[in-house]
Amino acid sequence: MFSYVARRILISIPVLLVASVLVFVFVRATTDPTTHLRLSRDPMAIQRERTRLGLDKPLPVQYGNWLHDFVRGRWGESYKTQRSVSSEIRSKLWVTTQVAFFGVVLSLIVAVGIGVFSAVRQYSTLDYVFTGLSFAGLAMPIFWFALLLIQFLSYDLQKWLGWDQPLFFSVGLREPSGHVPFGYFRHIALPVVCLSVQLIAGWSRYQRASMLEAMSSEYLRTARAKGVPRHKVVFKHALRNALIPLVNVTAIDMGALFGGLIITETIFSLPGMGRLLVDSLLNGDTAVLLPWLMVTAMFIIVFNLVADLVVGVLDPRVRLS
Amino acid sequence: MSLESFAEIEPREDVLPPPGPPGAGDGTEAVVRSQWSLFARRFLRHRVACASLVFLLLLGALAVFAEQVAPHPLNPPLTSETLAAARKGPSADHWFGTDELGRDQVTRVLFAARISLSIGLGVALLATVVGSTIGAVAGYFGGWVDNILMRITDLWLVIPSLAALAIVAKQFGATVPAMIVVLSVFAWMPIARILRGEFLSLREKEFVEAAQASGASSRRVIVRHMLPNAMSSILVSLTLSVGIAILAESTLSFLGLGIQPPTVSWGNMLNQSRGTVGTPLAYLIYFPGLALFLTVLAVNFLGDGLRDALDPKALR
Repeated sequence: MFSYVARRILISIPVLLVASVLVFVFVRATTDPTTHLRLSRDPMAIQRERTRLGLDKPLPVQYGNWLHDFVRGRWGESYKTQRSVSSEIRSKLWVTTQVAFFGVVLSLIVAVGIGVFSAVRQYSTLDYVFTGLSFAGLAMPIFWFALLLIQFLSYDLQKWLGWDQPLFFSVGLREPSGHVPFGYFRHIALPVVCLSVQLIAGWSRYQRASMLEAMSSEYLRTARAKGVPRHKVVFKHALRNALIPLVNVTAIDMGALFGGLIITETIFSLPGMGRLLVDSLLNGDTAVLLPWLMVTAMFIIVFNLVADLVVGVLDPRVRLS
Repeated sequence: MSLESFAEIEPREDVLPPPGPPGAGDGTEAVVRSQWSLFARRFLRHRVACASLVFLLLLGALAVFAEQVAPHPLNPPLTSETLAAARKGPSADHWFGTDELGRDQVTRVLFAARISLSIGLGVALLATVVGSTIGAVAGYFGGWVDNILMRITDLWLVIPSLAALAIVAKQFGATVPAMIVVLSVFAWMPIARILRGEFLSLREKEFVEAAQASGASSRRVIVRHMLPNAMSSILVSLTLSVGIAILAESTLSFLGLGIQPPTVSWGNMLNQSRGTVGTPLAYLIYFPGLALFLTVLAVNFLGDGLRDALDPKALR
């Protein structure tokens, strides 16, 4: 196991480096860091800024300098707020981590539950209901779903209950007006549900398929024939094997998770990474983009690493090969 | 779920008649059917997919003839009459209600359908042409094209695609054609991957060898012999990418980074009426979102039905 872990971590380093090249070239090709000076009266302002940022040097040199600064935590300053981008991102990261953590945990639990149930009771009424719901979930625009959640579960429910506060809050992570009972969960509930819908829809279909495959395998028939109790067959033998593909899909979907975070945080006014990206784009604050993409790429690579390790735990063949 | 999950589709070689409906198998029905009619029969059996097709055709027709069928003008002049009819919920005259400027929401949803459908179709076509070409070349020749393609797709997983799209769309994508190009740049890779896989397996088939042996050029083998065999997966991924493109466009427009007013799209309609949530005007968020949801749902059902009809082996 130790050598497997070490090998996986070593493989991640070149991936991270190549990703940094890709991100750097992508941002340099699509954005111009001097746009905010275009209205300047001083004709030399853009030229001076280009020299200051080193944009007059060849691209590989720029990349080297940027990487050097990035590793040392010098991520530049925001053009709008003049704050350092690294402290800006650090202050947003925690919010995003909380929402993403609860979202992934909730999605995994629900998706595995639905997937296992649908496979064990294939073609039952509930299986068809779940299939229909997953089609709906995959076609559901996250932002519209979020607006509907706010309308129904925040405003309408409050009116219906006759309370002076909504049961589920739709803005931020805490009430500015002081303490409310279970305030944290009442704030984070709607964003987490909203983030999970598409993940649950996709992952439960996947889990159902891989569970069905595991259930029809020969070793399972053998286990049944030997007289292993049904619940043991399903949960110990089939589920353990059916989880391996799901873990891989979870890792692949991390990019989509960040997409969901961008939308959710914008709608629910959560001061996280996703909202930071949208705000900086709308403000034309391109200084944030490069560090933002780099940090999310790092997150995704680390998550892929964790997924690899989990697969290694679930499937001994992987860590021995 | 992405297009990748459909990568296992294999080309159909056998033209077995479908298992007939109960009662039809009395042995007297030895009818020879064309490929097309076999496909049509299988597709028609998929009720939801048929309904989806009808819905999409209807919506498409309404969108094309929006000027003629829309019950009210898109931007009514701001007279006192218009303003008196503004901010009214759904009624017999305005089925989806009117907004703050007295604009009829049915009309706006129809005109927005035009934008969303043309972007969806445009992106799907462009991405399919580019993706199938690259995938076919990579799968047929292998080598460096293949290597580069696979590395690009792998790397693409570490950048959140919505973030990348948002950055590019903000810079270049305020108009419909620009939006189509921007979205296509990020949509061709799954299709290329599917086609590559398909061509890798087709390359080993005897009919390809036969064509090569009789002196056909690579180009002729790819276009005349292999592509028709890959048509079913091309068609299915084309359909499914329409849905993905419509969702991506509306998401960007909703965030304010895509299609900008006065061009009306479902995404920017929802962006403009975001603030009405929790107010009596909340009906403004229901209908554009519902149109968007139903359209994507119908496209996905259609793709599902096509897959079942084109590929009897992949039946669930």
